[in-house]
Amino acid sequence: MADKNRLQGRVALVTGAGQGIGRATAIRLAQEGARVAVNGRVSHPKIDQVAQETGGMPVIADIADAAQVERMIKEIDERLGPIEILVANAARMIMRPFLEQDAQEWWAQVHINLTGHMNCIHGILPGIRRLGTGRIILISSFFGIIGWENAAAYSASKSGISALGETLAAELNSQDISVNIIAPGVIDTPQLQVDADDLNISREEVKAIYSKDIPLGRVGHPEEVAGTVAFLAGEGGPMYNGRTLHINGGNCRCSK
Amino acid sequence: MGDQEMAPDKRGNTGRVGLVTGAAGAIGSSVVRRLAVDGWEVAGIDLKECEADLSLCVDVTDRAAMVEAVRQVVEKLGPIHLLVTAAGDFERIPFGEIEPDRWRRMLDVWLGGTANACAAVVPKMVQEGSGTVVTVSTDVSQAGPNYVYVAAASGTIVAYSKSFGCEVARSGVRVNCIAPRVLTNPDWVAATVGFLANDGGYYASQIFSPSESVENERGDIGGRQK
Repeated sequence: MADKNRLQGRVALVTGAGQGIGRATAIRLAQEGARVAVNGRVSHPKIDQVAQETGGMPVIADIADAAQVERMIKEIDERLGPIEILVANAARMIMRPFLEQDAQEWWAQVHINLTGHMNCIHGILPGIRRLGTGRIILISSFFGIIGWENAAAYSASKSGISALGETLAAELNSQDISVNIIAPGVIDTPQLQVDADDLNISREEVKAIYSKDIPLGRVGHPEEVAGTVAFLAGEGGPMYNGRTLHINGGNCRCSK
Repeated sequence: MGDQEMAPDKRGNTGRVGLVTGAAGAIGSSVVRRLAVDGWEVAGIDLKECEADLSLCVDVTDRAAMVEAVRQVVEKLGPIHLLVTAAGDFERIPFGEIEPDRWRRMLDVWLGGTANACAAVVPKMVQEGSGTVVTVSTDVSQAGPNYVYVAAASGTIVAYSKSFGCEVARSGVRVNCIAPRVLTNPDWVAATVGFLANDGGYYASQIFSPSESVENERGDIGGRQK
């Protein structure tokens, strides 16, 4: 449950905030008092809607492009102040059998899911170090923990962002600047449509299939992931560092 | 907890009942205080008196006494929504230097105590179709030289929680485990309990390990693998 004082006045950048987990996170952080920069790859009414709903600022940048990221961060810094919270959420997933996926599709996913967030972290870290406080929260996926058929590039890039987070946490090694990873299970977002298309069934059908294998018997809600982001951005920040929180409805294979 | 008077219940927990075992210990008493701040009615079980709304002196290794204590909690406070098993038995003893009775007691407190509390509380949660259980282990459960007995005894809690969690999740009961680093700030365990109780609706069978730093995490207990 949101508490509007917890993140009062802190500046947060949420990438891929037009829908799904990113959208829910932007809304939750705003409810907790944060000033939110709502990132989308290209200009889209969904981004403006979330910006409006959160009283935040729309920022358009393709995070795979370091120059665009640099420009975005400068713009946020000038208009909202230095970024203290990064929620690295933007992701691209193309499902295809490994041997049928060409190099371009591979890099299209890795450039966003991994390099894109490297760009963002690179961009905000000097400011965070000057502030002496920051929370970097990387949205990985259980695909990146246990792997998933027809999602090699996505899974590999998500595994990569987990390792990036763990490494960064070790390198910074500070309670004041923590880096954590959230590895969601199946969450009810528009991205589920990609899975549904891959299986040639509807989104509702894919939810039912996934739910059978989830101990809690249902897929997760974006708001539930947003609750974990709020915890790590706030109270949980100093006590978790370099950790992966597995929000997946009880998949035991994913815990460590 | 200085914010006790300023935040009586921002989280909608008023009237909900939490039971904490090991409630007079460092971790348990911090959990009791935190739950009170978050608006819970709290019952505490320990060998000695604790600060909870309802304090019961019971040995967690005594199954019948635990069942009776839980009956009293339900009678006096109402149905239990949250169970936190924080009773443990911690002593650094090198391999081969423990008396058999001491070892049996350690295992009985960790595994027996946790299983007894769950056996007394969880069937009703399953019946109701909802409930939250947070077990407490230690991070040496993953390996801790010179902590071999505590590691083994508290390690059972990790296996128990993951398996038990999978078993009861279908019934809407969420079991998770906190395995804090030895001597970690008890308030961090309490904060994690608060998170799991209020914002943890999609967590089950997971292990949470609050820790001071990443360096500590890899440091003095020697080459521990994740």
